Amino acid sequence: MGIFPSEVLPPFVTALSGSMHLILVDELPKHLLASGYRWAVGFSISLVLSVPAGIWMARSKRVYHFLDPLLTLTYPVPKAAMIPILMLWMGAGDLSKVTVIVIGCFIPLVISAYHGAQGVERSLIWSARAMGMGEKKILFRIVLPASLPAVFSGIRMALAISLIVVLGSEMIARQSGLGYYLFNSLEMGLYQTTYSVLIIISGIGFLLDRIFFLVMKNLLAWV
Amino acid sequence: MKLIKALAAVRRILIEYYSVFLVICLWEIVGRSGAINPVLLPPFSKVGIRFFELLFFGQLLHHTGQSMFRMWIGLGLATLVGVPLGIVMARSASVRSLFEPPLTFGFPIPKVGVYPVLIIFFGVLHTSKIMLVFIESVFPIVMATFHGALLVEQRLIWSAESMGTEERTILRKIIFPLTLPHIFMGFRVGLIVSLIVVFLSEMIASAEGLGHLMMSSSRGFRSADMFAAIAMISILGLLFDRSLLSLRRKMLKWHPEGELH
Repeated sequence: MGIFPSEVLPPFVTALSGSMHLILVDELPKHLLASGYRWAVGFSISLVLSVPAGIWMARSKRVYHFLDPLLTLTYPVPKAAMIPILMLWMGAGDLSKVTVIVIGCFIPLVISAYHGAQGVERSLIWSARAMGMGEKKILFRIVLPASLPAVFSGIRMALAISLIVVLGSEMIARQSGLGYYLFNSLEMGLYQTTYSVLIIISGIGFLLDRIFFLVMKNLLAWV
Repeated sequence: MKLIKALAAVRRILIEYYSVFLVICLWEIVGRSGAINPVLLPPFSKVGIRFFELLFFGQLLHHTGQSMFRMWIGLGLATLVGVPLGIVMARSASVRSLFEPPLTFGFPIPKVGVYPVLIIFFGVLHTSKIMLVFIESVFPIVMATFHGALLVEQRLIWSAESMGTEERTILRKIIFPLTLPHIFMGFRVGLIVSLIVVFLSEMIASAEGLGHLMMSSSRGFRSADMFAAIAMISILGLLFDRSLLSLRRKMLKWHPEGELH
């Protein structure tokens, strides 16, 4: 319409066809893969570490007394602020970027897993024990499933944080990945590419959310 | 007596937070031992001294002010827009059908991705950062308010209506107070994401603010300065979160959730 020049705000259709072009032809798949790889590794490490830690906290008073003050102190601290330190320690490559994702997701996941495991009804555990169920079996058959709903609410929070952090860290230390691609196109003045990448990122965020709900619905069908 | 009481309080804190002191001691010992290059990990005491040096004689306060200005304007705007919008969405079907689809679609999108576009429109100074904080924090606030307002028991509204209460009074006296716990929940999430985002945007492109201070001291290997900035960020995050929780306890005394924390 000419309110903004089309280089500054390209029509949606142009940007969309641009994204298609990027996906199919240009170097986007490479960056998508780089971001996705970091995100997947960081997120899964965080999940694998934090859920057992949260459940352990709920089961053992000593662990709780050790971890709880540390968690309450660090919970409101934006972990993205760790990026410069981690870059100093581990260089600007994948390691520091993955680590900041692990740290960023860890706390919401631990706290939700702890609350979930804490909320398990004592009588369930007692009756299982009375029927001769081993401690290991109680952990896997009762405590873990019963804390799943809480864990999922933590996962949703962690999902949001991890996406912010993965893009942010790539925009700060620019080497590869979607965040790099986005910012690089801005600095080169390829505004249309910026919008196209933005559309792709939005699609990914939306898709991940849908997948999350699908998995949650399937795993929590019994709730 | 006072001394004994004070000592007992100190002892209680030491016992309760022993792990925190343990970590600090470990940090100090490792930092002093020379096992790790002090550029990588300056000892805790050095960071503490540097923190106060920068606070009183350096630029720390100035940068903090810049960051906080950006964050609070953005978060304040998000609250001013988000809370009324969420409540109206729950009350009016037409407003709801207009706003719900874009909000549910936009909610899971990582909004930092919009930052380059915001730079195109608003430049790299305050406005683009304030807008980013606004965009990032308005979603959790609207959604929490909306879902909270939907949960208000319809019976309460009907009985108020049947007694001839005006719509405005219903909003003020019934819906708003009953939604308040959810608003606090959304605001807390908004606070956390806006802290993340304001420092990220300053690390990405800025000449001022705590995020910039960290990046520039990191590039110059002034690691004590970098840790001092992180200490400031941590203190601010902790302070805001604690004050929010105590405000919530005070305002929600009448509500069973007010006792939670």
